[in-house]
Amino acid sequence: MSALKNLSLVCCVVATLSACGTTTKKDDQAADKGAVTDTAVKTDTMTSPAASDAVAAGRTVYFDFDSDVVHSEDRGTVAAQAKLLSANRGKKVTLEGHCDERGTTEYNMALGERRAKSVRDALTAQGVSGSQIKTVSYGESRPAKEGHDESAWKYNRRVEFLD
Amino acid sequence: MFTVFKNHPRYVIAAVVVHLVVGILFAVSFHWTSTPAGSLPPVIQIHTVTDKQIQEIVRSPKAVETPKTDPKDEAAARRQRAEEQKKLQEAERRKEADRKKVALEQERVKKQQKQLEDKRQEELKRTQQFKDKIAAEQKRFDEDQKRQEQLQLQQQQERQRQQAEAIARQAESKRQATIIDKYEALMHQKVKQNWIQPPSSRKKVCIVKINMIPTGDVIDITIISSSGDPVFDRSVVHAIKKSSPLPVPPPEAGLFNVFRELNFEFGTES
Amino acid sequence: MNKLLRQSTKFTALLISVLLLVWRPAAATLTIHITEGVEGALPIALVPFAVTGTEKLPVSLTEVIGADLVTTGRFAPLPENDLIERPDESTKVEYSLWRNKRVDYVVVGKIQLLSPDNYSAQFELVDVIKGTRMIGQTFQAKASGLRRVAHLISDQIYEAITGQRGAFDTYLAYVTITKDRRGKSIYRLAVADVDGANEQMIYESTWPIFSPAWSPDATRLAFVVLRAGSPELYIQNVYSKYAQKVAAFQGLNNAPAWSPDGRRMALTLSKDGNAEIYIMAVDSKKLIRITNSYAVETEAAWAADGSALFFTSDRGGKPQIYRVKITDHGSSGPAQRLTFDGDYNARAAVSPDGKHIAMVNGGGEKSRIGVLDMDTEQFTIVTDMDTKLAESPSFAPNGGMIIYETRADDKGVLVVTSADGRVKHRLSLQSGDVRQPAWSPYKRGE
Repeated sequence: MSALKNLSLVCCVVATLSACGTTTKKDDQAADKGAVTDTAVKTDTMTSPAASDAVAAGRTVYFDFDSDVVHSEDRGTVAAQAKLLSANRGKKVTLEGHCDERGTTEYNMALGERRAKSVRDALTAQGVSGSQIKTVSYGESRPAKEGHDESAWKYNRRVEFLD
Repeated sequence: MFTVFKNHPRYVIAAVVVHLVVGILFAVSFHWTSTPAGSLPPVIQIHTVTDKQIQEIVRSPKAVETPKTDPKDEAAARRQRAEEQKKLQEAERRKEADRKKVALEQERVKKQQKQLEDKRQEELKRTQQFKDKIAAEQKRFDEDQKRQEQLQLQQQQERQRQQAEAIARQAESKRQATIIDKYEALMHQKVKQNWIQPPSSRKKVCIVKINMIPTGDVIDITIISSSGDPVFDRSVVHAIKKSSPLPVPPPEAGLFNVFRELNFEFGTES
Repeated sequence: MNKLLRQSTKFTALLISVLLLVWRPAAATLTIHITEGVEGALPIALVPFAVTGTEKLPVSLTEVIGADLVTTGRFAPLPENDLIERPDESTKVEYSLWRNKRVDYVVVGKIQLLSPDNYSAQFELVDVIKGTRMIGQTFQAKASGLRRVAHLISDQIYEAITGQRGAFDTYLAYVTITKDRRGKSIYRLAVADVDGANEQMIYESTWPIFSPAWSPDATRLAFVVLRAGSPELYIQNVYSKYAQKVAAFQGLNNAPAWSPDGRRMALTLSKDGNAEIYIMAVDSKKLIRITNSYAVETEAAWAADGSALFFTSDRGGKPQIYRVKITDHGSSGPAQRLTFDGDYNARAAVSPDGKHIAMVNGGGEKSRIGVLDMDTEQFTIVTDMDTKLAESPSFAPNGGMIIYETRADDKGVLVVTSADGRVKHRLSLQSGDVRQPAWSPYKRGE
């Protein structure tokens, strides 16, 4: 085992570098689309209450536990976004699905994706072209609010609209 | 049923005896009613017939005396007398003959009477004998019954004695059982506490035989029925060995024999 | 006559009872039934091995062995201060001394430095209750291999006493999360011995890493890197450290599970719409679709014999565990729902013998680990009452223990529980926030 240790460290560094390489590349692509560009900033999005900014801008919609149905009070947000996107066919949006920390990692990956797709379907139903929308899921990995009760969880079951 | 016979020969015998007695009773009472009815009336008949005959025979000589002759002619009279004499003689003779005949008849009747009397006597005697026999029979039956009652009484007493003994024994057993139960519970408790049951011991049973010395020290453990799992079996042997010496009744209880050799069954089938 | 009969029956009963009373001591040996023992750990004394040829060893073998045995919940090593004698051979063990100390087993041994960095380690296991030497063996190792020798000795002791194969010479894979100087999260996939020692990093990323899955030969790990909201699937050999991206379709590429033969991998893809289970040939990457529904289907786990997949599906409204039979061409017959306890059952982990399914059982504010007995259909929660966020159950290869992730002080910690939930042990690792444990199968042909 220990004989492999040095090699493993080298490999890890290589892997990490390659991982970072890919990330950078992807993020560059994302930058072209006007998305968050840099990992550090992205991390800040995660840890800082960027979500509340999004709330202020009307760019986040919320869900019940284990549900992909947008809260009725957030339907105006979806409608406003749909109007915006329909008016600007060149504008693209990334829908990020998120979950609270309950439930399993992988199920939450799927649930986050389903939430994003649920919002996508609502947008397309209101005239937005599917090609303007990208859906991703972060599962439970990026809570908007830290905490282990409903006061935090309700902010974490969400879909964010990102340019 | 057979075991009942086997277990209670005394009662089977008693039942047989009672059956026999009842049987005899039936037989005897049959003789009693039928035999006198068939034999006594003829005796009475003979008596009546004989009395009539005797009266007839006694009445007939009077009828013979009744005819009488008239004495008119001397010669004739003589002759007549002679004749009469003769007739008288004849009559006398006849009378005599009749008398003889009567006597004979009387003799015959007497004889007959005697015979009848004898017969009657004999009948009486026979009746008496029969009565005696019945009486004897009755007596024997009564005695039998008495004996039977006595036997039953004895048995009753014996039973009561046995019951009393059993109760006494039961009381002693109860006292012993209480002690045995107590030490059984103490052993159970000690061994249970020392038995670290392996996690996968569902449906496993191991029976061990142990031998103890009066101090409670286990000197021998034999697995008489393995659970099939060596780990389970070892846990059992460990439990026993770690529990040695086992709690045993004090020597004065005199119960060590109950605990000298013990079986322990560990686990359940379910 | 009737009365007589009645009386005789009464008499018979009395007679029998009298006979029984009289015969009792002679007729049958008294049998004491003990249906249940105590749930306890076996007292074992680990006498520090006698060392010759060197002043100090790089590691105390008996300490490693003791730590191993404690985690199983089935052993209670005697504190070192309570050791009444320190024999180094079974023949020198005074059984009665240990018996009086309420000890069942004693382990003795010696270590000798034969030549520079070349040790000989010998151990013996003694059953002091029965007064017999059970096993013993001699190993040769370098200093760096002494911990492994200790784990191998633990395995032997465990198997000799419990009858079950030990699982101490195996690995754990897990993900650690640390913050760099700028507060940025760094995710690391690591592999360590079961006691957390010899931790080695396998893969590092600023993106979340999760779902490490061991190949059945314990040489490769499949895992997911959530790169910019798109989970991608990798395979990496833990010895060669070469990571291979095996699935990066649009949407989800996650929840990997190796088939028992190691040639196929079940995974979740959403390239065709929503999350569905596929089987991928590990060499050719050829895909077969297994599930097809509007619902989420994910977290596949292989039946021990490879004939079926267990997976999470919310086709019934709530996530539950289903089982579907599989063929070379796809699924065979409809999926069958297996879980009915609670309204959230997900992430099945199949025990090595296939008889138990561990899973996350949740709903409401709690998520616990439950184990479903496939024979009795009995469902047992193995986490403690106050456990809130338990996740990622993984069986030890001997089926005797389950490792899972839970939270303590806002950080992920790993807990090893005996499979019946009786004994729990929190794994102490150097890293602070640890998640997503995966217990390796037995090492092969090393």
